Amino acid sequence: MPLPSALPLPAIENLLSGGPDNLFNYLVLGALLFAAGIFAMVSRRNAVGILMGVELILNASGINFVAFARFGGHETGFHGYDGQIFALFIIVLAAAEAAVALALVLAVFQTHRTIEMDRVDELKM
Amino acid sequence: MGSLTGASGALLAARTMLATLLFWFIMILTVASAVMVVVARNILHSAFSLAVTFLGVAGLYIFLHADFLAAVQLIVYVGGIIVLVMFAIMFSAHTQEGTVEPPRSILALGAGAIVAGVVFAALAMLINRLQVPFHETTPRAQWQKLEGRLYVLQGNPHAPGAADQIKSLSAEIAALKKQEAYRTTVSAKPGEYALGHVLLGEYLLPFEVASILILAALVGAVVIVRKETR
Amino acid sequence: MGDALHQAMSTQIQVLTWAPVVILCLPLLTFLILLIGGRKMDKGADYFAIGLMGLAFLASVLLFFVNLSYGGADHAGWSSAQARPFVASFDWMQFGNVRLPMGVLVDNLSSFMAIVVTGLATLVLIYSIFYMHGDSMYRRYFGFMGFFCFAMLGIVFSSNLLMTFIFWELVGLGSYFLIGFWFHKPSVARDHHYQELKASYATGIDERYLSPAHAQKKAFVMNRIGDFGFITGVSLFLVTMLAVAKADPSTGFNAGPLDWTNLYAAKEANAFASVQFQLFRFSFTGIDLLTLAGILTFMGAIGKSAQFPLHTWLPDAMQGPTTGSSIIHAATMVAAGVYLTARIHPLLTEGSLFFVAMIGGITAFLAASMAMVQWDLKAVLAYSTISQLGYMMLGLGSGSYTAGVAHLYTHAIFKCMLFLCAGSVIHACHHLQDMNRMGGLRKKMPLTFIATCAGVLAISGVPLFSGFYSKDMILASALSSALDHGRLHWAPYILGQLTAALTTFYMCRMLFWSFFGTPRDKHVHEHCHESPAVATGPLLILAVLCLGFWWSGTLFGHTGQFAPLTLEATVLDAHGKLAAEPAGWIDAAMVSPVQREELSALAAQGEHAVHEHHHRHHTAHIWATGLSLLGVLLGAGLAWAIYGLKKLDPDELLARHPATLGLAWQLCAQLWFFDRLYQDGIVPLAKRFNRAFYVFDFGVIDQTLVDGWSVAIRIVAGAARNIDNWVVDKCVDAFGVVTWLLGAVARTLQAGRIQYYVALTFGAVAVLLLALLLI
Repeated sequence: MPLPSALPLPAIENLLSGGPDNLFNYLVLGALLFAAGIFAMVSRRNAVGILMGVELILNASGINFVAFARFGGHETGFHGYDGQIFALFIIVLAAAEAAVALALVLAVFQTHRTIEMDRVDELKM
Repeated sequence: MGSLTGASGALLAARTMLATLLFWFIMILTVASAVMVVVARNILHSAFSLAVTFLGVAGLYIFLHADFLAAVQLIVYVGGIIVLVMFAIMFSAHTQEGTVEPPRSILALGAGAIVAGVVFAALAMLINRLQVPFHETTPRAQWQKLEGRLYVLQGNPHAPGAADQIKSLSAEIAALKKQEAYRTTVSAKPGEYALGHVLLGEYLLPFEVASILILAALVGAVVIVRKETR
Repeated sequence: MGDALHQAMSTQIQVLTWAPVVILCLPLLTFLILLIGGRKMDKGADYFAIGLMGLAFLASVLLFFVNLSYGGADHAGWSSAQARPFVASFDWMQFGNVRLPMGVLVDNLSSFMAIVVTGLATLVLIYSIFYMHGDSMYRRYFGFMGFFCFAMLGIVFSSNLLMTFIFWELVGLGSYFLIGFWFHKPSVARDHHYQELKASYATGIDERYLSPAHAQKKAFVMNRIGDFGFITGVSLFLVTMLAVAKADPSTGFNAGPLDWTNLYAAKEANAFASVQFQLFRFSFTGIDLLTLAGILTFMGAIGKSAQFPLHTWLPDAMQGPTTGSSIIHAATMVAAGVYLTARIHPLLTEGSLFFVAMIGGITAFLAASMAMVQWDLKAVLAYSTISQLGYMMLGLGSGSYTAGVAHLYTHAIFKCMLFLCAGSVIHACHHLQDMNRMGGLRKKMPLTFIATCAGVLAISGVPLFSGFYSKDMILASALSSALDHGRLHWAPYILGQLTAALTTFYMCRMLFWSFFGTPRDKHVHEHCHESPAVATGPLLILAVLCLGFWWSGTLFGHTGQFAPLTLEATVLDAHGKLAAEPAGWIDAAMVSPVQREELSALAAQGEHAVHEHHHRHHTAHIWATGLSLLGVLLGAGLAWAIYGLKKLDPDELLARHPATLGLAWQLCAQLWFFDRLYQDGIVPLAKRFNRAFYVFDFGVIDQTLVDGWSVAIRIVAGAARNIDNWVVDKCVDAFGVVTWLLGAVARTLQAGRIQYYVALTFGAVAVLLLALLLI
């Protein structure tokens, strides 16, 4: 019985070959970071923990952008720096987001004396 | 031009191997610390792990020829956001649990694992289907690869047909180098210089808008945190 | 060389396009800024308005000279290029393939009219600094003047009939503003000034209704009657032109069926004769329709120019500020009717031209007779204005475009000045308008006296003054028209000739009675004084412009003829060809394109025809001039005998001939019973009609149809309510219940914790992505 084509067979071949010169490695790392971020966002009780999950997700996307900029930029007609610029803006946004989000965390703490998100459920009808 | 000395060829190979080792070390460190961020019960440990993850990402940026971005990552994330996170943790740690998070419910863990797993699976399949060349195709990467082969050929120059191969490889390498030189002159200078040009040229408007956004975020953060005085 | 010429032409085109826009916008700007500026603009309102109007005047002068050189630069004399007016327009509306443009039209007529309007407005505004000083609505006055000038210039420059109509109505609004400027003043029935002097007033006016508020209403309604005809005429023109365009699409009349240029072109190509119309069993051609359209459009002019039988509003309009009267109800707005008639002049058929001439003749005579018995200074001038407007119509109607338009210009200047003189006198005598209490003002107000004299001489048609040229031309053309056509065409001429004598009489009467002799009211005379320079300056400028040599063409002309405004000057040179050059600069402004073509057609018939034409007109001109000079002498002599020397006592004369003179006097004093007829005859009739309509509307439509309908509706509604309550509502309720149930289920998902939402969002995205990838 043949394996479904969706299984990452070529991926295994790709993985480990080339080390730093292989786009595949970066993409897999990005996916891992992304999944870890989502896991943190969903399961963490602490608001700061959720925020850290968000940061992981942003980093994952940054990695993807820069990796594609390095490996795919020349062929797609861009000059190879658009991806880096995007990553740069992501960092900027992350900084702004972190500032505001942490301020919100402190504000929540001031009102609720806790930052555990399962105790802060005012969105409930 | 043309022929490399044996020593420099060996150095190059050693350098490539070192780089590969370093790369894998950083990869593993990043993933491991990211997992630590997610699983650590003490939120402070999470924050420290996150700092390590950020460091790892910065290192990967260097591997991706994005040196400037790596510096920014270090300054903003490790130097700024982590510190902010620490502050937030310290300020909000006056509860009886301190910085240690109470154990998560099975439901939350399960839901997180399922969602994260499904997302990762989707992404992995997407990556697997990707129709882009995974290996770098810049002239530089190509001639570096060819130079490796040239080095091997030069190791035993008396093999049959080696002279012709050496000749053709050298010509190919020279052509690729020429092409690279042309590219670098066309796109001005590589690296930070070009990045700066693009950032303050083509992307000037988003750049300025981002500055306004940061200002707004700053003001917003202050307004949100400020204790109301009546 | 060609390049330089092209350059010059394109600069000219720029000026011809934009100068009218600037001239239009400056007065509008005055109005808007003074209106919006509020009290902040109270201080500088006068200088602001004068400055902008002066700029508009300068632009008009520039435009005039550019227009003269445009097309004349590379063509000698009356070229086809100059005969076609310059038009710049944009598409305003589009219905199917019919387009209605809006734009500016610059030709000799419009560019000179713009000079007259802006120039007079500037002078009047300067004068207003003196006259309106201290008025509580000082700023508003200047704003309204700006608005009026904007609308008037809009008529002047409009490139099509519809646009003319729009600005025509705006002018009516401007006039409405200024007639009722002192809307708070009570009707004269409660005015003690008036009551004191009642005995000496002409009694034809119903004093109950003589107030600014009523006067403005009256003017508006009277103009509505005329404008009804106007818009009907416009519609007829449109219908005719569309029929022409349909018959021959190559004419391109669809792109602006009401454009003046297209109308002229259609008339010139005799396109109207080729279209046929069918109404019931009558069929008629475009020419018949054109006659009707001409007469109907002329009705607008009848209303605006206060022609018989709609003339009664103009004397009442004198309730407004004298300065406003001088520019609006003497110089320009009432002349808009004449301007319109001049514009449609090429389109008028023989029948409609005779109608115009007849109306003009009757108006001129009737109004002059009414002016003879007035004692109110402004009333004399008001009736005189009506009479002179009648003259202009007479000139246009008897076929002489040049004569009518020339009189429009000369009259605008001398009548504007006469009104300003009257304003000066009225101001000096503390708002006294009754001539019976004046007298002997000559010594007290020497400058005003000089200006008035110039005006009286000009309006009487004394040689060397401006009126002489234009009025003579009118009478000459009326006489030659009578000679050409005979019979009824003699009537307008005779009326006009009689009016010449009457005009001199009433003007001299006014002059002698208020400026000569001994003061009849010592108190008034003692307190009266000459106006300051800001008032007398404009008066003297206008007085100088009343002199004939400005208008005769000798100043700038180079043919050396004495009166080039007359027809001969534009017709011939010794060889029977058309003159290659206009006789004088003013000539160029006043000869209609069509007239030129008639003349060239005549020239084409040969030397004999031209000479005969020349001869007949020359004879007519000599006779008309001679008779009108005789009339001037008679009128002036009689006035001097009665009011100067007091050799003749008018009361005694009336008493001696009750059957003739007495009756005539009574008729004039009662204003030929027109006001009475309208106020006591037509208005009650209209009210009775209204009543009948009201009864019909209320009884039949309201009570029977509408109320009956409502009863029916109520019955249907009752049934509908039951269906609604028991069927529709329950269905709606069912929807509500289902939704509530679904909501109760869905609510459990909404736990209020953001992490659920995060999980759901990402989970959903990932599942979708997976599905996409696996399928």
